[in-house]
Amino acid sequence: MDADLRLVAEAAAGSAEAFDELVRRHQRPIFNLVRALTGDEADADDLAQEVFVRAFRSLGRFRGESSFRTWLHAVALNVVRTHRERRGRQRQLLAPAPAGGLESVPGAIPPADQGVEARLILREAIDAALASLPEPLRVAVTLRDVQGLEYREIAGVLKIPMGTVESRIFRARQLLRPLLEPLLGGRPTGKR
Amino acid sequence: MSCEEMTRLIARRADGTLSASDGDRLDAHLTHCVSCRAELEVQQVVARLLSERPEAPLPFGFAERLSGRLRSPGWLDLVDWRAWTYRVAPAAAGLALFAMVTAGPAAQTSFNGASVMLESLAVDHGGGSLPASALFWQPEVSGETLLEVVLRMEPDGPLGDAGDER
Repeated sequence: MDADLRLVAEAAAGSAEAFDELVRRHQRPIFNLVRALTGDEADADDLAQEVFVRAFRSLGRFRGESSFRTWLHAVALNVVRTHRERRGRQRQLLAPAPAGGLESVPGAIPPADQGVEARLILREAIDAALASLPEPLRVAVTLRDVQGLEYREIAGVLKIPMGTVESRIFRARQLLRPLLEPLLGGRPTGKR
Repeated sequence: MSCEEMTRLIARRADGTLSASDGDRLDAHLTHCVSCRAELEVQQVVARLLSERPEAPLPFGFAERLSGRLRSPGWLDLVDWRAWTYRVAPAAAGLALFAMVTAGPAAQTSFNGASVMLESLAVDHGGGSLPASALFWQPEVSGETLLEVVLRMEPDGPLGDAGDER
């Protein structure tokens, strides 16, 4: 049973505390998803807020057929998609891969020293690689490998067959491999 | 099984979600397919790297700003539509009267349809004839009923055949 269902029912009935708790539970993964899909910190902040505002206004339409997390992810994807359509950011959808991979991106390779800066650089590098993918592939692999959603959940969010989810993720990882090469360090490379 | 058919299984094996039965099928294929073994390694490396992507820190004050945005004037009305209905009722009653006076027979028919419903509600609630607005202060009247009354009181409401029920 979805642990959030009780909170959703209470929030739909008008409990501000219940919705605050839902926000507390899901704000980090939703912001993380939006940030990964948009690649922009300021946009991600506004859009993640919009996800919860839209979710709040749509609580009455949540029937519990999927988990609240799944439903919220679907809302997030709609918000991001609407944002892109409004802003006309086609370059983010079809941006070509950086020439020579991430090595051509200044600071793309994390320095040997660990810490906040290294984490930031690593995240920026991965997000840059994800941004180069066609949207269907980027969304699928982000939901699976970054957000950790199960294949069945992803199929529900995207309303596509599970086989299509698996194929998109496979293809996305294939395309990401050369882009992420500079980040792999001592990891096994494998032949293509 | 062809390599094409193995791609989905390879994707699943890479992130540890492959079932045991499918795993056996994949293992049987991998024993004699070098390219698929190489592809599996690629998939595993990328999946692991993506899963290690550092989480973006939540912007400062995210929850507080969201809370303020949700609690701005009118927020409660989005949740409690009965409160919204209370506000609309006087205006709806005024519109109905205006329509009756200015639109003539058509409005009269529609209003009378609403009046039939209001009369039945008055009977159901053990009272005499009640003005439309009085219904909105009766807690036992369901919210759905109140909303339907408001909608029926519009001259061109969706239930325009209310007058035909007479």
